[in-house]
Amino acid sequence: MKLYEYSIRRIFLLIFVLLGVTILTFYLSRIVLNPLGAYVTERTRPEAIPAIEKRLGLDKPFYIQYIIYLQDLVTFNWGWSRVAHMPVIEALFYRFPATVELAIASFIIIILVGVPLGIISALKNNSVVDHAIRIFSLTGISIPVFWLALTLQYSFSYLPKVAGLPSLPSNGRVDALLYQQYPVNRITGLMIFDSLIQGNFIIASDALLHLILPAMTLAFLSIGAVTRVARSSMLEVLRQDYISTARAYGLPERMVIYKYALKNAMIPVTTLSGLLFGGLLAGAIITESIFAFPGMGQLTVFAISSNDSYTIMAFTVLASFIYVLINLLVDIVYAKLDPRIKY
Amino acid sequence: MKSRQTRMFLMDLKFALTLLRKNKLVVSGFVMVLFFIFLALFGDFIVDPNIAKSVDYPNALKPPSWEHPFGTDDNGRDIVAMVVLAAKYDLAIALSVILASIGVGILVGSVSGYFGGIIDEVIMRITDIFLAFPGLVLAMAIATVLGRSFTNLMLALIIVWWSGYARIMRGQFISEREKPYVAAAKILSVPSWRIIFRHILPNAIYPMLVVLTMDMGGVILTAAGLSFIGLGPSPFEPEWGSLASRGAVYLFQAPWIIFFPGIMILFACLGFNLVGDGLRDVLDPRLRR
Repeated sequence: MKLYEYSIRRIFLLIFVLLGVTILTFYLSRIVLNPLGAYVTERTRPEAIPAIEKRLGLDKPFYIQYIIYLQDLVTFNWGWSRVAHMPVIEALFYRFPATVELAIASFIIIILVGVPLGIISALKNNSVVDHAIRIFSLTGISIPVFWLALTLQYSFSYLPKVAGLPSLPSNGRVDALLYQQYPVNRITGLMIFDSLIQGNFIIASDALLHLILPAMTLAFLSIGAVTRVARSSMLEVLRQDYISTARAYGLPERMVIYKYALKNAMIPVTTLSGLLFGGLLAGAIITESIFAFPGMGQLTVFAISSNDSYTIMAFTVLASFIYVLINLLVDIVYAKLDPRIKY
Repeated sequence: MKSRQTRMFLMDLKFALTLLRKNKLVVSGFVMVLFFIFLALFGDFIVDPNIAKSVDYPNALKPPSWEHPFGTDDNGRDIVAMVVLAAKYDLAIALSVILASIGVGILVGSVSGYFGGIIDEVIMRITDIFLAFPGLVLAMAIATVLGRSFTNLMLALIIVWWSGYARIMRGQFISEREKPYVAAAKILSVPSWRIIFRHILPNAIYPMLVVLTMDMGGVILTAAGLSFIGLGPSPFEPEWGSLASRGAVYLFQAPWIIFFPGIMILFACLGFNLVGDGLRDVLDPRLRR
């Protein structure tokens, strides 16, 4: 099977998976959570409820409701978000860029720290350095997110502030007072990018400072995974015959490692980092809510704690969509990178 | 014949144990895990389990002292006692979620991988739906329908966890089913269920040991996270995540409330991860040196 045939097959299957997800979300939003919740308050007159039900199509049989639901989904008519006080799709439009910005920042840290650590670990296999790096990366995958986030907040924001030292901002995306003084026009929604191209360096640096703690939190959790994969694939590659050949030719060790070994050792890392990025996009739920970072994850936590069904379901559909899409992309890129893979 | 096989197996085991013992990281991880198992088994005898349900407001939010080495929480309960009592709950969650999920994973994955074809296609697409669906939302739905409790937290985690195992087990079964011993069993007309469970399963589950050990830590972490955002058991059922989430409210007033349960989670997970990491080195001969 050729790569494009495989891709088409995968996209075809992807549609089935997404349909399955919508059946689940439909079930949850109709049976578990009450779809009326977003439109009915304590001040709604009881006699007005049937009219609302009729408008939402809740008086029709389930299969017709599901078709209406799918129609709304495709036309981006995603309902009213009670927690954001605006249509869900608008709320996502404002909040998704914040999540993307945070994801990019932590992704950069993950790759810049994780990959070199893995390579060092492999080159110094079974030494003290290797053990230290392994403990560091295992700690990363063993630490509770909320605990790390709150500890960082306490030690880099609260303690220095109490002691009168310069401290890192611990919540929000930008200082609100500063933002009022130097407003930024929204272009992409990525605040640092927008303020930089408008020459607003004050907001850019403030937004960057606000990113440090949440990005560090998210990064520390995933550095371990990248380090482990980079280490084991580097070890594997270094044992290959072509590396021995390169060494036998008398090539300098630096060249053997950085020119010949690294290229192949990075294939599994690429796959993993794609999946990691997808995971970051689909919501750093706990981190965002602790750092009051106005992204999609924070909105979801608000929505969950007040049973806001439309917002929860929008998040679910979006997160599942990102997940399947990233998986598909990773598989295709993997096949491109490693020509030995056949389908 | 049998005794020779047993002898070979014992020799293998002995060799593996020697390798594991030489690895200091594994030994320290193993000690950590044993410590938590000890706490889980004997916690109720070390401290009075009624402390979890007691309320002592005059002693609330006391910083660490000789009397209360880890301080007291907002109900005046000693945090040492609380984290010791919680060990039982957290290890129970981890063990039961892992066992139940691998059970479901084996059932689904074996049928899918062994029979293949349309059955495989249908089962795997359903599995994909569960893999793609955000676990948090599933957990929330369960908490909404069934209420917030200890058992429901476990149920939510199992529903989230099984799909990954099903996919791995399917892969294992696909690679095993083409091997000569399966063909031989088929020729001898051994029933399918017997081939699956008696012949393929022991070979297929072996590489899962590492994943299962490391996932013990993963389950504890996820359970703690779910408790933290309020989908866990009530504050009177001590669980590290819910203890810590109480502490988040008092972060600046009484940081010890969140600090010590968090440390317990960290070390329990680190213990399982160290053991799993070492197991991987031993089980995978390519990594031995």
